[in-house]
Amino acid sequence: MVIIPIILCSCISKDLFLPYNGVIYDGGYFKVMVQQIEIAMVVFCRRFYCGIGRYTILKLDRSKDGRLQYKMTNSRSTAKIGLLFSETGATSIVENSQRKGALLAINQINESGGVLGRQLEVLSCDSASDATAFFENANYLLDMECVALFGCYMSSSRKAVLPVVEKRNSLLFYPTLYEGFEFSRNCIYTGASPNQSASVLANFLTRNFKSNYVFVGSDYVFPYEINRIMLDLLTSQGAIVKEEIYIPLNATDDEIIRVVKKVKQLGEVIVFSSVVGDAAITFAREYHAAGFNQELTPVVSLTFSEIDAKETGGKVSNGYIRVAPYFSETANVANKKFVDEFKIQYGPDEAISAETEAAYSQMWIFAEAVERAGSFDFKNIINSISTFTIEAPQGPIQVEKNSQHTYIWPKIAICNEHGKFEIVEESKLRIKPDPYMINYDSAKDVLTDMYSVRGVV
Amino acid sequence: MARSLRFKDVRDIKITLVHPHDHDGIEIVNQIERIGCQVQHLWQANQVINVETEVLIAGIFKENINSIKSQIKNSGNDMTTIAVLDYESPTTLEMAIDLNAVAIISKPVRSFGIFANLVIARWNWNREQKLKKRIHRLERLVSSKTLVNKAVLIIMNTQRLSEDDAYKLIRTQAMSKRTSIKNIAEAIINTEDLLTPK
Repeated sequence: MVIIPIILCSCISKDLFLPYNGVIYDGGYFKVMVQQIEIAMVVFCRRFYCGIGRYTILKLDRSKDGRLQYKMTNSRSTAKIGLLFSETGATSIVENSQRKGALLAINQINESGGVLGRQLEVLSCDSASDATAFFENANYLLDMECVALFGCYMSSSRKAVLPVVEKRNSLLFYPTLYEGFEFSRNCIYTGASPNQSASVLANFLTRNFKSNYVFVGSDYVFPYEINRIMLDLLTSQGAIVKEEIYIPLNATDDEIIRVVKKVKQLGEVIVFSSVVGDAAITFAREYHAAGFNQELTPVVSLTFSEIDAKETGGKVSNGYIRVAPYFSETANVANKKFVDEFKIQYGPDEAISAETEAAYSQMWIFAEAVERAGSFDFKNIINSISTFTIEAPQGPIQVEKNSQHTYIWPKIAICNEHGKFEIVEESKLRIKPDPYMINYDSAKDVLTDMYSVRGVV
Repeated sequence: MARSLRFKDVRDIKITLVHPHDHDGIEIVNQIERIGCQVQHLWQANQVINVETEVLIAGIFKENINSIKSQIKNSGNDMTTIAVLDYESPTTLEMAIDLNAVAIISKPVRSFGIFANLVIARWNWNREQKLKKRIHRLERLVSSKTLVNKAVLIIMNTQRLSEDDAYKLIRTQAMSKRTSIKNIAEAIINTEDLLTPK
């Protein structure tokens, strides 16, 4: 009997009476054990403390239409949103920015009246770029009755979360470019697939550069796969790829310096980099220090963004070429509004990248899908999610019904000395996602027609 | 084709699993033990695959692919390989193909599918072995056929015999010398130069 008041206090403070429009819980990898105990207490308390009120309503709702309606918890008019971004760890720079994008969208959605009349409440877990923590935090967030999960950057974290959402009939919104060859009914992919990124880059490179290449990537599945695709695309156009080098995710500076030396030994080469996280920034600095011709043999990438450029400074990343569906220099009304509000929220110097934009836009996709479905139930959301277009900062985007990947607008940009990516070409049409595309060497002609040159390289 | 794998034989299959001792690895081991097979679970590169292993279940990771290859090579066994994959991307599949995998177990591992994969993989492997043997036998037959034909021609020319009689002569020789027709044919071809009048 002594324990019950303590449990009640814990339950009340954590779960019921905190302000709903802010971040109410920040869990970390090391807090997982504490979280598990809290879940147990909260679940126990719901049964005990809220037994009569909430439990009865839940039962009524179930008997009415046969499925669990989140609206049953009408003692709280919020819907919980689970965020899975690493706030610490190797890839935290990008993921923190994605998190900011998601939070901005949530604030805007709440200001405009919420979703189905309910305010969105944020539960955010720091998984520290560790796949096991992602798995545990995903479970935790769903235990806390989150209606959907948003986040993941590296493929390993997505792979860890997918079985959780699949098992528990929930949804993961994944806002990152990845290697393709995947589909889960419980995942909405809002980043680019390789056909929307790698083939665009290779096409641009073969038109503008005659050179040898070296591939440098982080040691995990995305770089392996994207390198295979780029190798096919570039060598089919007569380019020579001299070497593929992989850097561990938590590489030390010495390891990176050794890789830079190796690259320099190859002579005049264009570096295709899929190094991610902190290593990308160290690599950029060291490669700059070693010296290279940024115009003739630039560093090209699908991942090195405004956020990385801000970390390295414009001098280091000047001349870097990236293909992405969004750059903060994108000129349209939706983007101006997005950038303005982002800077009001987070400060004028805050960098915004394609990853940030996808995390922002996918929250709006989710909100619209729920409104149209009239329910937070995952099956209803899936049914409505491909039925509309939203005006995203990158352009009007839509989820493709069959693959649950997104139609996006690839753009090519070159980083200037101020760390800003100036768009030189952009797609005339939104490009359909094709996550299982294999025959890349035959995709060349289609893409050439789709691009309008806006600047001279 | 006649039944090449009897289900009651499945339990006799000796299995080695090369996979980290994580949730998926343990689930595979548990399921194999439920099925009733013997399983050796190893992960470190310096561990040795049992000599009796018939089926190798290998987790495919870029960092261990070379050590698995050398483990297979060192074991010297002719094993049926099943790959355990967490990605369906072509680079991962290439690694599986590299190991000559004949079946796939996908992650997260479910108990369903391991028995089916084991049976199908073993059956396919048995069939492949039978076909290989058959091809080998046919290749031998074809090569001896050419030799015999050549020898028959030589006998026909030197002894002025018909084709049938020439062949019968060679066969009789083979039977009396207790050797194969192919060997006699080879002897005839090799000694042709000596025997033909210049």
